[in-house]
Amino acid sequence: MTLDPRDWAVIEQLQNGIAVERRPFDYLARCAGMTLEEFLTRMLRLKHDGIIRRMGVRLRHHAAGMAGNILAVWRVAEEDVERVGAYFAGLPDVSHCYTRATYEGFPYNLYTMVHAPTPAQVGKVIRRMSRESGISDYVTLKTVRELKKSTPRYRPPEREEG
Amino acid sequence: MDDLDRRLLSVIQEHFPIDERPYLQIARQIGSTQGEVLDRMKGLLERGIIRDISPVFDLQKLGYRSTLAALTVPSTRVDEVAAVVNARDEVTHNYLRAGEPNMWFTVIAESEAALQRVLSDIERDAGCGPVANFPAQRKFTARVVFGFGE
Repeated sequence: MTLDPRDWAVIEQLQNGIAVERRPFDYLARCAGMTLEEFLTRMLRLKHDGIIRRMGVRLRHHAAGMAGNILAVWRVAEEDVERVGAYFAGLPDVSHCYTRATYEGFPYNLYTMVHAPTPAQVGKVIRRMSRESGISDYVTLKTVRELKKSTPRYRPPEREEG
Repeated sequence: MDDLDRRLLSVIQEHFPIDERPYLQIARQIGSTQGEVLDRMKGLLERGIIRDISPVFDLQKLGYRSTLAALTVPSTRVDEVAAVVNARDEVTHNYLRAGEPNMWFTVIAESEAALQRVLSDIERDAGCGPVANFPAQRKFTARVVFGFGE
C-alpha cells in the first residue's frame, strides 16, 4: 500500500506514544487534524497491511525479569539453514532469528537473540540449541556494555519537486 | 510483579486494542476494571518495566533500510569511537560485545544509498579499520518473548 500524508500524520502521532488515560486516541487524532473515527480506521488499516508490525508496549527486558539476553551466532551450511533456522525460530526462548551476510574473519551466518531469566539459564538453552540442531560452530556475543539504545523516529519521505 | 501485572503484560505486548477506550477493552480481557488497569499501567511505567506505549513499525514498509554493522575497536579507544558512532541519529543501538569485532551497531536510513553513506562516514571518522557490514538476508522470526521472571 502507499502511504498518503494523512497516514503519515497518524504514524507521526503514534510515535509520540499512547497516554495512560481513558481515551488516549482522542488527543492524538486531534493533533493529527482528523476525527477519532478516521484516526482509528487508518490505524486499523496500517495494522492490517503490516505497516504497524506490532501494536503493543515495549518492555525493558532487565526490569521485566529477563536478565539473561544473549546474541548467539551460528555457522550453518547453506543446505542446513532452512532446517536450523526454522527450528531455532520455533523455540519460545528465541525472539529474533535472521541469516546475515558473513564478513572476512567472521563466518557466522545465523543470528539468534536468546532470552532467559538468568545468564546461567540462557547458557543452558544455547547448549541445548547446539545439541538439538547439530551445529557446534557458534559463538555467544556477550554484551559488555550498552553504548546506545534509542527509538528510531520515522518521517515521511521528502517529496520531489514537480 | 504479580499475576495481574503478568496477565496485563501478556495482552498489551502484542495486542494493544485499537479502540476509543483501549484500557476498558484490556480490563474486559483480563477480568479487571478500567481503573485498575490504568493504575497498573502507571505502576509498570514508573518502575521502568514498560519502556513506552507505541506501535512497532515495519521499517521496510515505511521505506527505510537497515543493517547491523561492527567495528574492531582497541580497548583504549572505546569511549572515543562510541562517541563518533553514537553521534549519528541513524544509529539506533550500539553494544560493546566480547570478541572481535567488539562494537556492534544497528543503522537505519531512508535508502540503501543513505545507509552506505552512514557506514562510510563512520569508517572514516572512527579510524579503526573497515566497518564490517552484516545485512539481514532471511528473517525466520522477529517477535516478543513471553514468560516473565518472578
